[in-house]
Amino acid sequence: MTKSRFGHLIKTARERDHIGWYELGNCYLNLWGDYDYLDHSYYVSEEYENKGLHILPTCKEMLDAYIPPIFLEKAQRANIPVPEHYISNGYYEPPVILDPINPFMIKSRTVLKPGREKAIAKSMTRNYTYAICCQKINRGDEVIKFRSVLGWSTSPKYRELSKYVMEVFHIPLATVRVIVQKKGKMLLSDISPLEFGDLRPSEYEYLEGQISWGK
Amino acid sequence: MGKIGIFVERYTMSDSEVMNALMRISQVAYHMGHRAEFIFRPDMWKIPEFDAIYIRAITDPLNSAYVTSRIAELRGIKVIDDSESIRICCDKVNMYTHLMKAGVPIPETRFIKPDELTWKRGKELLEELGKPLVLKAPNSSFSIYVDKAATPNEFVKIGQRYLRRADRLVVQKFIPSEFDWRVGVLGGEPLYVCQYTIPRKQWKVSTYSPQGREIYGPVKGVPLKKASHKLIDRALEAAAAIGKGLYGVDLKQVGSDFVVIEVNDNPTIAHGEEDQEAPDIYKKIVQFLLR
Repeated sequence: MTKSRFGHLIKTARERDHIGWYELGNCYLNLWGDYDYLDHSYYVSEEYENKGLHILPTCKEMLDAYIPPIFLEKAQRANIPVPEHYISNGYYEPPVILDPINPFMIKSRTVLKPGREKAIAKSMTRNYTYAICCQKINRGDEVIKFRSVLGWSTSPKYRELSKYVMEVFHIPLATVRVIVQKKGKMLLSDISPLEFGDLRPSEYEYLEGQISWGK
Repeated sequence: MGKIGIFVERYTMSDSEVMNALMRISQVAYHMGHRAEFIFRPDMWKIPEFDAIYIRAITDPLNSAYVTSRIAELRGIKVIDDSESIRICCDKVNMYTHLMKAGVPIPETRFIKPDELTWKRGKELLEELGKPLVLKAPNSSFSIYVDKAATPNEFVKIGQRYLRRADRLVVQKFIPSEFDWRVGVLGGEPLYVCQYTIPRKQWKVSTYSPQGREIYGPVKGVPLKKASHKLIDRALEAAAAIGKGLYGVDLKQVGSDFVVIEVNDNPTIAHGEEDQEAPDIYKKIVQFLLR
């Protein structure tokens, strides 16, 4: 199956500003896939919300999903397993995953060994101006990412977590970071963008069956 | 007895008037039989220990204050500022859309998308709204990223700079004045009234010297009873268009009427300034939080 087979879908999505109708949720879906604050897709949802139209994700949901400590708190409250985490001005103990909480940085870092904590903290907090969210990992844990499309994943082992991404966070397209513990337990760790244009043929095919574009 | 957590950042502590206001709220809470204590970023895990959270830090959704607000909400804890107020007020496109929907008078306003940032559109806007235009980045605060454009070239140049921060640009008609009114509103009730004087040779309430020093004009408190009813009513309408929290509504007088310049969440409350003629500010905030 090649991507060009879905050229019409990509074209239609572009023409509709990536807004599809999701019969299952009886709502519009913002399918831009990158839901950064004050970006185009953020304003698309904002405009729908201000017109009183039901659209997912809402601006609130975008922020809930993309700000790691809020994401983890929300997951925890929905009984989804998440790693132990804390917010810090710079202090942390490896092994750990660090996510910035600041308007100028999105890139996270995994620090496995002690030695460079201070230099990394200084850089990630912009000289201790902003905070970081620290997720504890254990030796032997694996950090992996999978792709979630409308609560579904091509790989069956991630489908349950993928379902949560849609049901709890209302994020239709996402790259999901997971910590897989030694015994195989999976902990939800982070959500980041998965742009519509970057979907794979099997993902377009799944999406095509769930979305209509005419409404 | 109720317990209030006051979320602060290091910079909150460096402003003595703001800090004095926070000490006042702490004392007032104590005299009312409650307790208030400061919490910092690494103390966020303590949020569930409090009955209410009072945020006194910059509330941009990408900052820690927003995390505090959302975590408090997810835990069912009352919070000033609630996250919806932050989301609306920190994005001027959203804020003005709410005001327009509620029919609150504001300066003539246009929202510009990146493909509209052209010399031709700048010329049209100058003809429509008059010279100069006021350009605002949606996430501007403390008058930063707010500028005037008197020519289509300036419109494009300033717009390019602001569109790096967001996918929209706010363009407004310029309304000159010597001062702005600031009406504090809490839970739909007026809290205080002030005049924020615009520093000499400037056009904004707060501005910066070439050395980066912040320049403010004097703040003059006005007793609520002596303030114009029209001013108060206009501020209440504006606050109601946003939510039911704590807001600082900025207004300018145009003839006998008032137009709303903006609604701010997390308004500055500095001892000796906003509380000059409203000494019961602190009591009202404590009551609101622990109601």
